[in-house]
Amino acid sequence: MKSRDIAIVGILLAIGAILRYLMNVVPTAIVSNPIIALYCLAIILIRPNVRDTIGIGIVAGIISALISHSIFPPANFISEPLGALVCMALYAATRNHIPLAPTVATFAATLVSGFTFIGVSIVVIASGFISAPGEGFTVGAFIVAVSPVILLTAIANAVIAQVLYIPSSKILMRGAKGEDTQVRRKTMEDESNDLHTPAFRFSGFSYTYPQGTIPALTDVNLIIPRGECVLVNGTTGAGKTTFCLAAAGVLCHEYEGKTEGTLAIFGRDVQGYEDMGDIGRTVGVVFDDADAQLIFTTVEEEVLSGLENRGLKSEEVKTRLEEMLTFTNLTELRYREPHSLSGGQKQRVALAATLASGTDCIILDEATAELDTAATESIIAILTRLREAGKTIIVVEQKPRELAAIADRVITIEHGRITKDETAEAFFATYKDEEPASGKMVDTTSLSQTGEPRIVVDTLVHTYGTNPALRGVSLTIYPGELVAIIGENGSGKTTLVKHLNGLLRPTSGTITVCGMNAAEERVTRLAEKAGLVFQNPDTMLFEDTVEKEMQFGMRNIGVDSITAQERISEVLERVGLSGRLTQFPRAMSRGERQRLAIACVVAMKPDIIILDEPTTGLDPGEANRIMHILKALSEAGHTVIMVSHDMSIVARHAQRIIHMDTGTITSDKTRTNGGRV
Amino acid sequence: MAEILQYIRIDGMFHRMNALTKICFLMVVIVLAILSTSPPVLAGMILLVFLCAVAGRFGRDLLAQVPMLIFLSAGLLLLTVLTMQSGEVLGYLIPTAIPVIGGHIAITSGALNFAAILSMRFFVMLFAFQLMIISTQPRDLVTALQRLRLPVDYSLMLLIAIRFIPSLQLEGKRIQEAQRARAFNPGTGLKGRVKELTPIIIPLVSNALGKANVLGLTIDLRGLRTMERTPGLDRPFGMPDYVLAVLTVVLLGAGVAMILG
Repeated sequence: MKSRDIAIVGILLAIGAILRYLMNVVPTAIVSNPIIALYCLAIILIRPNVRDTIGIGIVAGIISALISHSIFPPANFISEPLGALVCMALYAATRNHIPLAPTVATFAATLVSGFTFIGVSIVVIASGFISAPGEGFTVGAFIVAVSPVILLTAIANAVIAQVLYIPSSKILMRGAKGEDTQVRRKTMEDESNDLHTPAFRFSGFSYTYPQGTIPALTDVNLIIPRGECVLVNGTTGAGKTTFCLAAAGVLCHEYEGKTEGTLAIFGRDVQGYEDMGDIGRTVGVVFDDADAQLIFTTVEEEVLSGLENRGLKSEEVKTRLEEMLTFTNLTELRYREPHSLSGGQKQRVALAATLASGTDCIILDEATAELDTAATESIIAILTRLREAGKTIIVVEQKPRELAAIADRVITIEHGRITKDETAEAFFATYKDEEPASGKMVDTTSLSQTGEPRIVVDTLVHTYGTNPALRGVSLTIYPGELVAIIGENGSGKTTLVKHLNGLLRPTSGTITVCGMNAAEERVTRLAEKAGLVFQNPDTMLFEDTVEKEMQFGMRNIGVDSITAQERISEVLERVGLSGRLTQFPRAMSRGERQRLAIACVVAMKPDIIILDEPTTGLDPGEANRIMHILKALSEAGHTVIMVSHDMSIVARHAQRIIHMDTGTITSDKTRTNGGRV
Repeated sequence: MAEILQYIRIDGMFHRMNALTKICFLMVVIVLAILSTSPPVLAGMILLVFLCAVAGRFGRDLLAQVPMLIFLSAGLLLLTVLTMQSGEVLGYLIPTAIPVIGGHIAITSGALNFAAILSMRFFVMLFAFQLMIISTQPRDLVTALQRLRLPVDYSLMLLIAIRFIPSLQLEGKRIQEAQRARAFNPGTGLKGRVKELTPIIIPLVSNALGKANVLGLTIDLRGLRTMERTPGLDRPFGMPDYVLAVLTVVLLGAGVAMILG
């Protein structure tokens, strides 16, 4: 089984456990077990062998038993492996013959699991180990009583598995395949003991993804000496991440697809490495999704995981743990849980865990994309020290300027080809930062406003438990304004905007939105006036076509289908997605998904459009495109409010900038030649 | 649910124990809870596990589960009363004083007893499981499970499932908020829950699967499947382990006596 398959099973079982726990509110001795649907989905997606199927069933049984209030929970240890085997066998037998194979396999697996559970329970009741449920207990009556529950559960699980199968299989198609079918052969001599060999040597290297026809990387010829810091530059979709995956050996060891040419990592042919674990002793990778790289439940444990599986001596592990925590400024966070950390802190932990392995090279794939200025600076400070320590560093970064001080060399990738390879000095000599918008920023309170305000917030206070998040915030926002709310993580920006559509209610203070009292009005009613686009567009996209995705919001507010169709065409045109009606939303690029998320909200025609970090993770071109859409919306009379940590975007586009710090507004300035003033 | 299935760092005796000791204790408690049909015995076991948690300085974390468990027990009690007629009639759900419909749905001693047994059994099992999870770092748990011959791949599955429960809960909450911000109102009750399924669970599963690639690569690059764990890092057996081992043996003896008696 591939490691990715282990991750898929673990994650799906976690979701199953959440659903199973919620099912405990159903007060019966035998309850529906959605974990079955999720492990069946896992089996259908990864198609494990018999041994691994039983393993999945055992793990599912452990989880089911431990959060169950059924009559005899240990029966899960038998029923779930059996259910898993039935699912595997039936899916293998039917998947090429009937389109509803996931439904059939899950339905049968649930029936087998359910009746096995009952069978085991009856055996232990009959043998006197546990008490019968009532004096009048008979085996026949028991089976008759629980059979409908099992049947209904089987139907529910079959529906869940089938509904989830389609988007899940499409999501997984974007990445690696489970089985490795490439013919591996070593093509180069091993020179890994020669310290003069370069860190990376690409020779005519090309790669085409399994689902692709055009190479994602074409004829890469590149030598990166040891100790060099290389910045990889290029637009979204240019092939930067694929380049990183190639350099880390992932394409050759984990992905299907067509590979041509050769690649040597620290003098050793990439095919000469046994597996990713072997490469992991030389090359560490930090990805943009920090959360997915944190497997353990405390920061210390996470960093230890990089150290203690390398066969080091106990004392060395302890010493290097302390060094690493100090090096990455994590000492104070060492006992915190990963899910409670900010994005910047998570990324530092992922970096520390990677560095803990002591690899000679580290690759960062947009590791600072979602971080604010302070968090980005802390990562760059760490990279500076690594460079001084002689590590080879490859960094993919959308904002090159931030790495000007540490990069030795910049390579530019366009359409999968390296089009420029120059020294950092030469690159930054011609690199131009975009100019901020012209105009003088003045205190908003010094300007005289006319007309009816859209939003009036008065001494708003919000506390999470005993922690104050907003401390008496007051502000007024008018139609047609393009407002940016800025501030470091934890300054209260998102808490503030969530009050504007009722997702949060004030601890004290008042909020008026389009004349409505937002402290009391229903969220669904407020959503008609104030639309919110979340930072990650994938938080809201769930339909299988762009058209259905856009219809969802409009249907919720009662827009008729003819009007909805007209709006869909109009809004898709406005965001540059015309002609994409039937496309699967999650197959679109990040920038396109972000534009679709905006389109979904705009189609509901709210007076106010709120966006949480709308340009995060986008290249400058895509970010500018989003900002032009927002500008056009504000010029059309919408009030546009964006939360952002990207100061260069804000400086170039926002008419009004509100700065927040520790739950208060520290400055509120408006550009005097902006649209409104 | 935010509190369940998570390690909490505390300097207490349970945290100093080897994971194997706690697993043995958990197994014995679970077996006894299943075998016992006596409410007083089960109540005693709840008290015992709770006292263990107090001794381990996380009694309050265990108590955080009580409201949910009481809610569950109340529902269980009601349903058992509605569906089970066994033993002595103690009264009626609809009091006899009410004209016409009064005197219906008998509350029987058998139903109360059975509901109490199921509820208390769940209390014992969840408390005992919490005792182990709160006090055991997942990597110690993985090592212990490997000692018990559970292959590393399956230990990692369990570890990932435990680790991602709170993250996915947060993600689920974010998705729920995002759909509510699109005026999605599935309504309350069971019908609402069913309607809520597609707009929430599809993005939840899709986003979670999107993490699988990176998670899988992280497992490989950190060498987690080779698990050449540094010797000497395992938590050594100490006095707290011996105390719990004695308690486990006593419980086991009591269980055997209960079966034979």
